[in-house]
Amino acid sequence: MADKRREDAPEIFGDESETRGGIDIPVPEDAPARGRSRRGRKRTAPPAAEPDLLPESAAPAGTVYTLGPQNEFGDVENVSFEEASDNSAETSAPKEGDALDISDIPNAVPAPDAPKPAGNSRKRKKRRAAQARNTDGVSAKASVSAEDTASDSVSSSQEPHSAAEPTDQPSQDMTPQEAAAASDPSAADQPAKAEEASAAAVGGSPTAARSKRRGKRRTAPPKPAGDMDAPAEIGDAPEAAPADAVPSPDAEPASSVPAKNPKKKSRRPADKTADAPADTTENVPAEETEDTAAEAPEKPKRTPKPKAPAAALLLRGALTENPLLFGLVGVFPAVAAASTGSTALAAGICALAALLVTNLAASLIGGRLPRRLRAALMLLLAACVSSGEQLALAALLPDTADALGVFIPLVAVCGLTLSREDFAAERHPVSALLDAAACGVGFTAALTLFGVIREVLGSRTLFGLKLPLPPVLAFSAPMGGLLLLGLLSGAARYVRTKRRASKRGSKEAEL
Amino acid sequence: MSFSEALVISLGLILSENVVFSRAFGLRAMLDTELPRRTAWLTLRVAVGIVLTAMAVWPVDRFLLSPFGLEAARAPVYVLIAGILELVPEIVLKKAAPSLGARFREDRPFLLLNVAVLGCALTLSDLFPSFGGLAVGAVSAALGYVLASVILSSVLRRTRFSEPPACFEGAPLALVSAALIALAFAGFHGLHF
Repeated sequence: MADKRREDAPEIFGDESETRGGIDIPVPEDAPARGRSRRGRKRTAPPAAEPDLLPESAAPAGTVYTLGPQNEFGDVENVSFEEASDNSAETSAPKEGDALDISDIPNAVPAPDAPKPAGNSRKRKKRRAAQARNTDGVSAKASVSAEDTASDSVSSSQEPHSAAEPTDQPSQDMTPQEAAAASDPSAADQPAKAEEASAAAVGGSPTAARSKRRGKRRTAPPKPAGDMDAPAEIGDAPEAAPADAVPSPDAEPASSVPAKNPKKKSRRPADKTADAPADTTENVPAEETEDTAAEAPEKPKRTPKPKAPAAALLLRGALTENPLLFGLVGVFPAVAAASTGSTALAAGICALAALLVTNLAASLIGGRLPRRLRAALMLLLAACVSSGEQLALAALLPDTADALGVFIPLVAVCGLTLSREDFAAERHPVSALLDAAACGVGFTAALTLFGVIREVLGSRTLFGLKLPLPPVLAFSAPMGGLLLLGLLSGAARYVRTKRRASKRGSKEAEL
Repeated sequence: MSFSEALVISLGLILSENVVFSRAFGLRAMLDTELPRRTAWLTLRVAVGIVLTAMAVWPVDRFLLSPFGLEAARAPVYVLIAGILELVPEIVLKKAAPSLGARFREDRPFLLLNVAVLGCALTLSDLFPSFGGLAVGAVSAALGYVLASVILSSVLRRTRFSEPPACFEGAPLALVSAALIALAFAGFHGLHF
């Protein structure tokens, strides 16, 4: 399926030679196919250009070109590659695990100090570190790209001229020791060998020295404090963000190196498979982890987002995302319980108390319980809180308790209680409490305003005081409550839309 | 309980004292316009939950809570019973009919979140001291809930083809529509038996 998509839209998925590191040279259609790749797609033949245009070095050894008869214009009609077609497919086509001899490629310029990819990632990493210290950034990048390209056993089609490799490349079947012996000793290899020699002189084995160095490397540089994935905590000062964004002095040489080609990231698995047969004595996943840890400082650091301050969270919960006016949460308390201002205030305080308790409990429990079980537990907890509220209201405000009646437990167990439970379960208890306070206060304020309007319009009173207004009894009924809530919600959305449009307009004017 | 009494209770709870339009029980789930296809399924679940919960809490209230003066503890006990009643069908259907059991697990505890279940249990246990009256009242309340859901979903479906102002799209329009239907149901208050 993936190959079909690739064939249908090559401009999106790219050519297979690009994705697998093949050579980007046009391939004739009549070229013989060579086997199948791992994905089952036929791999195309190696480049077969016209023989007279190919350089001497590009012609495979032992190739016999048979020219057909000339036509009336003197051109050769048929050119057969009897031996060359098979031989070229076997000799010049890159195999997986084989290093490509790019000296045959025209215009291929070898890097001046390109080291040999002996398949030992530890040595590669040593060389990278030494080059990052001793050489400038451009040459370091060139060597890294040469290593990556050669370790992928093929040259990249994007940068075919930036990679080079000596022709006396040791075979991948060699052990790391043989490969190291066959390779030219470079300056970057000296510290590792010297360490192994010193370890052997002391009495330890080279393997022990390697494990020692590996252990040292595993004490990787700590993760930068500014983690993008960390949830925004309330109360953290936004000024801390730029301090995290400043790169450490250790990462300074890497910062001078231009950003690596992101395509190389996708070729990491190929790198792993190329290294795997050579590093028979090494733990490949551990080395990959080490490579990743070693390359981590080279990546450009992202600037972490400024964390949401508590004031913004309170403002959002109380005004801009008020649960009653915008979230359609708490319709039942507004319609059934908030017929007057006093009952609305009492119902809002009951909901606030239940919301505080449940948010705190949800934050403390977190992910220890399944979501459904946690929600049921929170509802049970809110019901217990409502029992306490009922007793407290009956003792302190008996008239209000009688007016609310059975609505007190229903207000506590309404959808508002669980509306913030998911948010609280992923946050610190302080953040969860602040969020509950913001939402609860906003809900209580909106509910009180709603109750006051209903009381003024429906009963001609304001907290018990008579007002000289004509009563509209429908506003005291649930029907009036629904109508008034719909109108208030629409008005609140209208105001919010206008405010956002004005803010957007002012920002555009500033720009 | 005579038949006339049962008829009066039924007509009262279905029309004039509809639990949705006169007490706003379970109105939030009906106004949720994001789940139009599941309205029938959720309504059926709530209706069954209303009947079962009201019948299950009656003996507990009658023989356990009221004799000891524990009326304040009704809410947590009722929530616990409703939770058990929601959990039992899941467990049974998980083995008997896995596809149907999976539908029960789609939402969070829906019966507990729906105010209609707990509200009907609380109010009906106060209204009807006898089990027969409570059973009739529970079935009538459930029928009233289904009727309100059918009417409201039909109206809300029609509002999707309208072009209200941008700030009134969604919840505000649904609330105003529900208010107009509640006004129509308020006309049944004039019925006297």
